[in-house]
Amino acid sequence: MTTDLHQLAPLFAIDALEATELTQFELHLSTCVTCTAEVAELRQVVAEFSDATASEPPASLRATVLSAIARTPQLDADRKAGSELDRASLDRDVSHTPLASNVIEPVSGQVASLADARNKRRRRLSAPLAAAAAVLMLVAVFGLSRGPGDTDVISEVVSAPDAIVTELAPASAAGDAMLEIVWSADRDQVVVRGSGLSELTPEQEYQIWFLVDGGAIGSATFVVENGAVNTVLDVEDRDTGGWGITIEPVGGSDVPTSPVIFSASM
Amino acid sequence: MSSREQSPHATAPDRDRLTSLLRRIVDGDQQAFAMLYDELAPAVFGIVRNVLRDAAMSEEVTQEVFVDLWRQAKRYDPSKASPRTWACTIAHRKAVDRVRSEQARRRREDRDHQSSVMVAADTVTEVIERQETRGEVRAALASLSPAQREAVTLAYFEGRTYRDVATLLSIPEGTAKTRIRDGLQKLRTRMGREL
Ligand SMILES: [Zn+2]
Repeated sequence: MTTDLHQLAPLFAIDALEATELTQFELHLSTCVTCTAEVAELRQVVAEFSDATASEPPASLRATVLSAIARTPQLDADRKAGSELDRASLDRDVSHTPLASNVIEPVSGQVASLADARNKRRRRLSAPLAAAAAVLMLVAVFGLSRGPGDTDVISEVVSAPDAIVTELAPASAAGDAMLEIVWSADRDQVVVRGSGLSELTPEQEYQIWFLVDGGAIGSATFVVENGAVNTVLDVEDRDTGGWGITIEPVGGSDVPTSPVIFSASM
Repeated sequence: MSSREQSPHATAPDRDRLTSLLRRIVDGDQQAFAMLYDELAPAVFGIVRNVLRDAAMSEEVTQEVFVDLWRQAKRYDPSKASPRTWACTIAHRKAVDRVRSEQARRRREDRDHQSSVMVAADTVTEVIERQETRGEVRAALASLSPAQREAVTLAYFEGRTYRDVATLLSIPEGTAKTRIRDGLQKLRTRMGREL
């Protein structure tokens, strides 16, 4: 199946994509201006029909809604991170989207190239076996987060002259989880700091994605302890337009297999 | 709903009025929100009910939509969508999320297959025949081939995935995608000049 990711824009605009393709497309959308424009335009077109399908709700609903909002605090406007991402997708209720544990079919030519990119990375890590890489990565994460020298490395990355701090926006507006990535391209390292994150099963890890033109490229994985993380990870030597975080099987995936839980564009 | 010839919705005054309400809502103005509700509730409820069918569930989801509009008001970005489009997008998505999580719980029975295709046809016929429907909207829908109309109706009005559409119509997934895509493009061309 070779479908251009761009071609999924109309289906996405009317919520007609399968859950498994949603994540992939949302990541694409965060860096594709063409699709962003197309989605916005099509949403406006279908909204035109709301007039023709309008239906008066029961009168009692008005009071119910007004008393509900009177009890509901408004969210702050200031959410720099993720502002470029499609707002609607950010607000998607992740809890309703089943974690796709099944294998994702490649939906585009780009997916294949993402997989290639990842494979290249694995070769660069000089750990030809994915499993071996995963184990090494896991060791690295635990080693770093426990080791006494760790705080030094963290502060080195954070104070690197080229360090870029990006606060990621949670996909589920309800959660009070936070996550930020400090990236030093010169050092090929990131510091990941977060709290309020969900605990994972032993088979899962959080994975960082580079958001680039045309999709997402999988990078390092990490785990949390009591919902918190503060660690240094080695990442690829490459540019990125933003960051995404998903939950993946240990060792990470070539393409995202679950909804994006945090993202930000830069 | 009125039977005005010209819908107020696509016009700049509609957008301006709703935008200025949103500006007040951002300051926590609940009275402005009540006005926004009055403006948008029929549109939102209509979208939700088309997808969900069930009256009680539609009320619940409509409430969720409005609470969300309230919560997110400060994050509304007028450069991305008109207030009406913003509300309709959230309404559709929440209805679809609900219907799909319901589906996940109990897989649809086979007889649902027949009835939903029939309902789909009804929904569009209803829209086309409805007095209030603007000539433009009617003409746009009528410009679709019957196959496109069916696919767009199932996908948008009923909130099905393209895979569901393919199954319901017994056509390949690629064909379903193409019909939905082509149908939407045609609607866009037809209605585009107003946007
Ligand atoms: Zn695109």
